[in-house]
Amino acid sequence: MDMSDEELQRKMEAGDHLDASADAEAYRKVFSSLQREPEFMLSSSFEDLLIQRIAAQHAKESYRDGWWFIGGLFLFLIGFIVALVLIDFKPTMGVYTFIAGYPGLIIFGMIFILVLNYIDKKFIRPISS
Amino acid sequence: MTDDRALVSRIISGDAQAFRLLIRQNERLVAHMVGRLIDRAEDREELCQDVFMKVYEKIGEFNFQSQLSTWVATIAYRHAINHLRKKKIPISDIPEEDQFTSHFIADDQTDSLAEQDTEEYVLKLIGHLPVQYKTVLTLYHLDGKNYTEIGEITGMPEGTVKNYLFRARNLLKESVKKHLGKEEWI
Repeated sequence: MDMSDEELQRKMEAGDHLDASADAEAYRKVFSSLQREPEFMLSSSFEDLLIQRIAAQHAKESYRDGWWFIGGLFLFLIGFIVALVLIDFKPTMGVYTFIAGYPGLIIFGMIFILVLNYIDKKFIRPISS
Repeated sequence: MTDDRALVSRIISGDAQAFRLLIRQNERLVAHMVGRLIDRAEDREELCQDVFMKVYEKIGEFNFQSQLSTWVATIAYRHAINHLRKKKIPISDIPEEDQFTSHFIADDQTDSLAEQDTEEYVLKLIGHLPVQYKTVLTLYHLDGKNYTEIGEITGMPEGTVKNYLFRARNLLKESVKKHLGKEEWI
C-alpha cells in the first residue's frame, strides 16, 4: 500500500486539513461523492405495498391451514371410527364404566388441556422466541 | 439494543405498526445496498420488498448478537448477491490488482467530466467497481457501518474490509485525478 495514500485517506476520515496536492483534491472529491445519496429511492407506497403483501400472505396461509385442519379432522374421525370397528368397542368395557362415574373429571381434563394450549400459544411461545 | 429487543418482540406478537417502524428505520440502508449492487431499475424495488419479507419471516430467529440494522443489511446483501448469481453476473473474484487498476484508470468509464459534475462522475465510476468494493464503500460511507459490522454483513475478514475500502477509494482517486488533469500541476 502507498503510505501517502493511506495517510491521506486517514486524514480525510478524521476531517483533518489536507494540502493542495492533486491527490488531496481528488480524494476530497471522492469522499464528498461517496456521501451522496444514490438516485434510487423506494416509492412512497413501498411501506403500504409491503404490509399488504404480508397481509395477503397471512390470508393465504390461514386458508391453507384451515384446509389442513379440516383434512386432519376428517382423517382423525375416519381413523377413530375404523378403530372402534376393529376393536369391537363397547361403552361397557372396563375403564369406560369407571370414567362414566366421574363426568366432572373428564370435563375438567379437557378444559385444562385447552387452557394450557391457549397460554402456551398466547404467552409462552412469544416470550421464548 | 434494548430498543431492538422491544421492537422485535412487538413484531413477533403481530404488531404491524412495529414492523412499519422497522421498515422506516432500515429502508434507506436496504435501498442503498440494492441500489448500488443491482443495475436493473425494474428489479430493485421488488428485491427490496423481498428483503423485508425475509426479515419479517425470520425475525424470530434474530439473536441480538448484532444490531438489528446490521442483521437487516446482512439479509439485503445476501439477497442482492443471490440475485446477481441468478442473473449470472460474475461476482466471485476481485480482478488481479495491478491489471485491474491500470484497466480501470485507463478506461474512460463514463462520459467526459466537462459534461457532468464530478460527483456524478464518481457515482458512475462506482458502478464499474467490483461488487465487493461497491459494498464496502456503500456500507462505510453511506450507512456509517464500521469495519467489524461490514465484516459481519459480508462475511469478509476485517482486514479484507479495510483493504477493499482503501483500494476502492484509491482507484476512484486515481481515476478522478486523471480526469481532472491535475497530474501536471504537481
